[in-house]
Amino acid sequence: MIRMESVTKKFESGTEALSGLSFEVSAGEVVGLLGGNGAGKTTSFRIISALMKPTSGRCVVCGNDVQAEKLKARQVTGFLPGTDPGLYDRLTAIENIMYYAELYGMDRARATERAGQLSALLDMGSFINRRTGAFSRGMKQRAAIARAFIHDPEVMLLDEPSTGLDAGSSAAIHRLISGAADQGKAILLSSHNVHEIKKLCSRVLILHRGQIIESGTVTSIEERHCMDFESVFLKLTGYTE
Amino acid sequence: MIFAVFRKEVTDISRDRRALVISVLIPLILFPLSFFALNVNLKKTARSLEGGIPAYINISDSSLNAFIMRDGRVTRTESPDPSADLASGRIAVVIDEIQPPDMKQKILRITADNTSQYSLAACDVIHGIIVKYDTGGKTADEKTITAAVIRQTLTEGRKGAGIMMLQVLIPMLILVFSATAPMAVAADLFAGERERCTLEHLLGLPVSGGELVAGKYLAAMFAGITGVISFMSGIVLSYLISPEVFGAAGITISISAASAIWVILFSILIIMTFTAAEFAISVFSRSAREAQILFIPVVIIGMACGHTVTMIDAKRISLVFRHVPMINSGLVIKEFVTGIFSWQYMAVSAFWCIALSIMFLYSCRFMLAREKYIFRV
Repeated sequence: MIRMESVTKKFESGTEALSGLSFEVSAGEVVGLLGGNGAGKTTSFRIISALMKPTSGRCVVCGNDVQAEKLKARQVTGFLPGTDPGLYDRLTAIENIMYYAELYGMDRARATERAGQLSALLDMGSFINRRTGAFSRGMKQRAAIARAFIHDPEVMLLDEPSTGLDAGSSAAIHRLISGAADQGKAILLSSHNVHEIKKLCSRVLILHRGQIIESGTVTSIEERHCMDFESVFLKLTGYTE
Repeated sequence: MIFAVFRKEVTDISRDRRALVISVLIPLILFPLSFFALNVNLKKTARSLEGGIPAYINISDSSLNAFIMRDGRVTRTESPDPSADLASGRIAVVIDEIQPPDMKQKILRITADNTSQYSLAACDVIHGIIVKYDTGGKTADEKTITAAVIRQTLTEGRKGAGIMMLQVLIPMLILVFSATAPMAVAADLFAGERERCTLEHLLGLPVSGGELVAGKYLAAMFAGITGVISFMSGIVLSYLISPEVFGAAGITISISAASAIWVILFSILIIMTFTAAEFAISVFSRSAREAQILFIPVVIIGMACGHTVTMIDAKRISLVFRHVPMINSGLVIKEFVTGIFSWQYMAVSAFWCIALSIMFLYSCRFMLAREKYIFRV
């Protein structure tokens, strides 16, 4: 469903964010993208969601080249950027969600039904009709996730979805991710939280300086390096000797 | 302590080249440019009053006729409809005679257009020539009475003064308000979205850059038009409450329906252009604050154009001003107020407003398609 083929990304400053990156995420898989700051995680997400153009190589989402068929690729993708929940403060949570549903071209009845499902799944019933300006970080993130995935996309991109959230909000997001994987969605997830990766991901890609330096299931990586996953990650990314 | 803070701030400000250009260089260049153009126009008008005042002359006293022409400052201009030509500015004054029923002699009459400063000045010049006229020993039956020249105006006095006032106020206010009214919304729609981190989310949706720009532009236009209507309504209200403040007590403010409709249509075109320019700035800016700073030149341009338009006589417009799109648009509005509809300049104004708007909106689309601008840091 997601296929990155030898993607390189060089910025005007000369920094090479990605160096010939190749990987695939299939239907029903939750793939974890791990790496330190500047490893290339956010750039990868931006290339998959067609916000950035690769310098070379290509990215295909559900059979659509993301550069040649940008809008088609975006139609089947739900993207939650890691920067900020990015809600419109003066709109209520449901207004934020329905605005995106409209931009995804959903009919109102279907959007309302889907919003109801997501609201239940993410436990948003108590605040869905309130303006988002006064929401806590966790409430905002849940509303942002519901908005990003309102169109029930085949591919879900989540850039650090549970950073800074309380246990309740994280649990709600984890429920949504697991449920989506069970429905056959392809999910690419980045996180700094090793426990979250271990819990959710069927496969892990460790990214360092724009290249994949390790990949596989958490168990296989631990076995290969004879140490726990967190130590492997720290060792490979140069945080420890 | 105060000096330390002051020194730091001045150092900081002086290192912000863009702020320097915007707050110092642009006003320093733009207003002298505007005054230079106006000065050229004023000199041209003064030269025209020294020789070549277009006048329609219909008087039977041939020696008076010859006396006027000998002065050299008047150019006889033929006209099938002197009143219409006076109103359009083709001729500056009409000189003719009237025969009062209770008098043997004819009385000389000079008609000027009191909605044109040039026409009123020309009227003064011609009146000055006529009062020097020596009857040369003609009998009372033969001569035209020049000692009691009737000076009349094309439009009824109080109404003419009202048109004069509207000519000054309407184009200037429209230009200034059109530049300022959409500012807050234009800054918020892209730069504000970037600042609040909602832009990246939005650009990841299956919506083309063109659709996004068009939808947001319509919203900014709506805000701009609403803002200009509010500003203008505020001015009207202020006038109704205290006309004296406007120096307008005792004058009649009136404008024809056709003029009002054209004023509204061209105001929309001007708002459209300024909104598009501010929109492009907003797409470029990293934050709403940066956008507000970059809007300053746009506002200064609006003010300079408004000031220039204010100073120009609607009936004596140099061609040079027609080549500056926003000044021409202001002048077209000024002409509407006086009842002039110059179709070719209206077309030029509409063309430039639409072309500039398209250019600015296209630049928005261009920037939104490039990560260099989307992720500008």
